[in-house]
Amino acid sequence: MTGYINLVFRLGIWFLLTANFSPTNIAIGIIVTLLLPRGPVMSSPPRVWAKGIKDLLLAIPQSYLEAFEILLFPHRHEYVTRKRVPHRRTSGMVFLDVLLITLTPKTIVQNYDPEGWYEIHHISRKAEP
Amino acid sequence: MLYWLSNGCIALGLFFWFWGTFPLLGRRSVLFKLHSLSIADTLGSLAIMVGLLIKIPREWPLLVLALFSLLVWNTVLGYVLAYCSSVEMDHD
Amino acid sequence: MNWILGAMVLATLIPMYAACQNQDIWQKMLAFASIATKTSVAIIVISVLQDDWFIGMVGSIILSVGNASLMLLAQVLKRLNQTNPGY
Repeated sequence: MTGYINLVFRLGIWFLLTANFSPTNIAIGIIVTLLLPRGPVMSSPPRVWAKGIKDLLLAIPQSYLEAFEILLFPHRHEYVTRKRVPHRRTSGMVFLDVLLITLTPKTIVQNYDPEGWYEIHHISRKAEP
Repeated sequence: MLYWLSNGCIALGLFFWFWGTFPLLGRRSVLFKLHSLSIADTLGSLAIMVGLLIKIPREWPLLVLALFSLLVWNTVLGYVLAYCSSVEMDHD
Repeated sequence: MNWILGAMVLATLIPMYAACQNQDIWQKMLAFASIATKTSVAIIVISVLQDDWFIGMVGSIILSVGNASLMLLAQVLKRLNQTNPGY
């Protein structure tokens, strides 16, 4: 399943880059996608992927909101917290988690501990809670 | 209507660029500057791209690719920079 | 539409000044990352305004590959700092 997602992803990039749907170009794209090496991927069920993509779409307006908050009120304080990673995350989902947390301007993942912690750096208006 | 929407997006993006880049000149920690840079470089550039996309939809494949790679690479670069610089601080 | 480009060049000057002025290597890296993003966005804006597909392609390739070099550089710097701190 994840193998297909990977192939579709590569083909998508190819067509976006070339924007050309002639048979030759489609053939070149398919051949290149099949020839590029594929690493071992641990597969997550499609349900998990769908939730991740939904979260990503929700995170974009959220991050604009936070940007305006920082804009209107100065955030002068910094602190670091730790957050537990959900049990049995595959590497792809961990990547997505890090992406989501770092995308919002108030939080940045500073370290990912393989034992199951994200170290998150925050900025806030008040001193450390 | 679309004209003003696209110009508004581009203006918002440029404003984010300036406002998020000025803290670079200050004397805060690297991580604090990363927060404001993530506003400037990720959100500002996304707004500019969306503005261009509304203005000239003909070139959508390129702009969509640019949007996507901006979103992914800039945030990942933020994480990598935060990780590398903070490990160094622990070491001192 | 030239005002957009003018403003972009002005915005790029800020991190350039920051990179020259700051001695700490991580602050310089931040400034470089900012310059890289801003210039490639400017390239794409130019391509769209000029209606030139190939410049835009170059811009999006730079956008998707250029940051990787900065990540590698950050990893190398971290390693360097670990082996001889204070360097």
